[in-house]
Amino acid sequence: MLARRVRSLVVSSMVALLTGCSVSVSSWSLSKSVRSSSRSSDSSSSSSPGAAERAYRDDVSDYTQAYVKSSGGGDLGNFRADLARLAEEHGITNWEENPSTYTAIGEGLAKAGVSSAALTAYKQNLSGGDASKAQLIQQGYDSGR
Amino acid sequence: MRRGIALALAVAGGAFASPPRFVDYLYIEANEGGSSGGHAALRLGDETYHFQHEAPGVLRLRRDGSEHFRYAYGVLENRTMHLSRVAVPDATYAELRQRFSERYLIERKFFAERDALSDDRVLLERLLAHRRGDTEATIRLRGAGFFFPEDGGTSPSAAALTLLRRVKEAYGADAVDRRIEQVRRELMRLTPGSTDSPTPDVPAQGYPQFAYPFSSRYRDLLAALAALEALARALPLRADACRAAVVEALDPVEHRALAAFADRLEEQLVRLLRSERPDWGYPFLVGMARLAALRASERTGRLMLLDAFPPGAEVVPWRALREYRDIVPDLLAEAREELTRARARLRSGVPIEERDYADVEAAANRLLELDAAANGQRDLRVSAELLPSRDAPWAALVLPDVPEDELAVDLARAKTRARRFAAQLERRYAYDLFSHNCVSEIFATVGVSGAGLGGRLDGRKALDFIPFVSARAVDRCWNVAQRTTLWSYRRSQLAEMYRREEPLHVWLRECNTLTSTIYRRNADDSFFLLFTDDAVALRPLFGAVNVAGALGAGAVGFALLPFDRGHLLASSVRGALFSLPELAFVNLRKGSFAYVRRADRPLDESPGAAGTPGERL
Repeated sequence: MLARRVRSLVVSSMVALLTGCSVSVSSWSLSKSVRSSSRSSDSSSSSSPGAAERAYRDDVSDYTQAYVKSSGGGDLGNFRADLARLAEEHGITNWEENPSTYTAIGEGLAKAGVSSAALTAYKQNLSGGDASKAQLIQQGYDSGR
Repeated sequence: MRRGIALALAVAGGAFASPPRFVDYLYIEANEGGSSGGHAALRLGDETYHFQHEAPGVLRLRRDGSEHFRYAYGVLENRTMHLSRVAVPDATYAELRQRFSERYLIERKFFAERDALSDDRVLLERLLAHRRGDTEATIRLRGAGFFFPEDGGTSPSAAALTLLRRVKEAYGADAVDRRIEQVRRELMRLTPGSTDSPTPDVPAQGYPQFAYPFSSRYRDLLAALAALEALARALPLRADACRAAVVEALDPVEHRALAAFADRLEEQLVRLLRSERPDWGYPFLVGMARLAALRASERTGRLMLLDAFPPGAEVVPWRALREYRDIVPDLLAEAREELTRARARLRSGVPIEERDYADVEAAANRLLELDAAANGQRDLRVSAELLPSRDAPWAALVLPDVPEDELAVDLARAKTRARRFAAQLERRYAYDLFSHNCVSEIFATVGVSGAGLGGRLDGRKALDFIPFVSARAVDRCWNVAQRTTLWSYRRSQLAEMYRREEPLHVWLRECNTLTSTIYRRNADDSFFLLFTDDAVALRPLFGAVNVAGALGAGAVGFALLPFDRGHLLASSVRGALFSLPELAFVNLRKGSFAYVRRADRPLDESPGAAGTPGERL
């Protein structure tokens, strides 16, 4: 029993010597009690106001581009579900009420190269009939071209 | 130096139509354990991408804030970083960032699907048990824990009553009851097998498209049902779900900002009830809970907060925290500082949004938790990210209108799907020391993008898979214009001490773990006596002392085996092993830190660091 325990200690230590690319996660447990690890949080604690917002917009824009390029924009239910998870990483649960969401979607659509006709369809489906949201998507699209 | 001048000339000479952007390749020196091979990362402004070896033997792309990355690796892990900087035009930078970001999003989606398929299995097991009469079968419902299970005998919430009135005004007196019926019908109509293609494929390219998993559909609808029930009955917050922040009372400006935010939140919740989002139940539960906390803040003039720690948050046991009791005041001071920063937005005069409120909520939660642990002598919950998501066991499961034997078949299929998909994913992302590691994947992602960094590199060729060698390859093949060394925490502290004090005295004091004033014994580190990272010539001698010391400690550890569960023995065995390379002039172990006071942290001296110049990490 004791010998097995000692042997497993030696073997696991030797394996540890031969691996890489890891971090000792527990080493910052105490530090997690006062700070977060995300880019948004870095930004919020630095002197660059608006950087957290920029980080959110970048993510939504990149995600929209990737989604639309791969799916051709098919299932918007799936699009919304993944968008919700992404927004939560930025501390946002109600992404529909965040104007940056729509601007970023517009930017992503532009980067994905969607046509004007397709843009109209996206605006209609994602704005839920809210003209101001549709306008934000259009603004993002125009700025992303 | 010559390269630095070249960079300056390139910028001044207009080699770039717009100011150049910078791509930084980071080689991070080794430390003991899983990081003994060193590490590599790519810094793109305030984001740092790196591939990390994680359980169960997969290599995951991680994205950290650059400031945090420097703090975690350079300060806490105490590892020196070597930065090679390439100036690139805007378009190249954007292309590269997009590639890494897309890869990150795709990978995240794959692993979320794996978790969802696993959850399908868990949920179907519960539903089948319920169908077979086991009424004890429950599932944990995210967000429901703010209201459920109900506290007995409390009166309805005034905030919820007002919200309910506004919902009825907007959609009709029976709107909530109708919606409850609608959601119940949808739940009963759900067919677990309707999306069961054999096993979802792991496509080689592009953002993956998977069917909306059964467990997600079910949980989303059940969360909506919980939200509607909480609203219909105007349930108050559970007593343990909301606490007063341990800070001074709100000033009039903050008070007005929070009241205005609460008013807007109320309007938003009315709209959310009619959202096309399939998952509107969870944000509604959180929004309704926050509304109650905000109204309580308005009423009391104090900052009232939801408990924002996630279910199953990591815990630092009280006995471990007690060992660090001398730094608890520093932790509290830093947490207070973070909260003050977040609260500043309440005083800015600009209407706050959810994100601003979430920052205040998170910072105040951290402070409250620390304060409670320190004063109440209890375990400390910690979490890298905080978002209210308190869950509750939910026993009132709505059974889909599917026969029992069909549910059993669906469960068997779900198990197979989950297992096969996980196996596919583990094959796709399997870590390999030589061909699929933190270096090879950075080069592969850069290579695919065709970004104009210089010559193309392949981390699987020759010895380039070793982070240390890869940094030389980068310096040789990419258009590196500037090289910088970002010293580890201990090395930067040492440099400062050498400047201020008698060098021999500093060296004698700081060369060992017993008298060092910089280093403090960290339970994560193996046993060692002498630092060898800054003692090149003496390294083999120091290494021999470390080996001998570790063997001696091992003998003591062996005797203590029945009493300390083998901790000292394990630490000693690891210590001896990680000292062996020192005999051949190779340093791996540098010691690490559980926490470093902000005042002692090095300045963020990375070129182009995002924070305020002169601000500490």
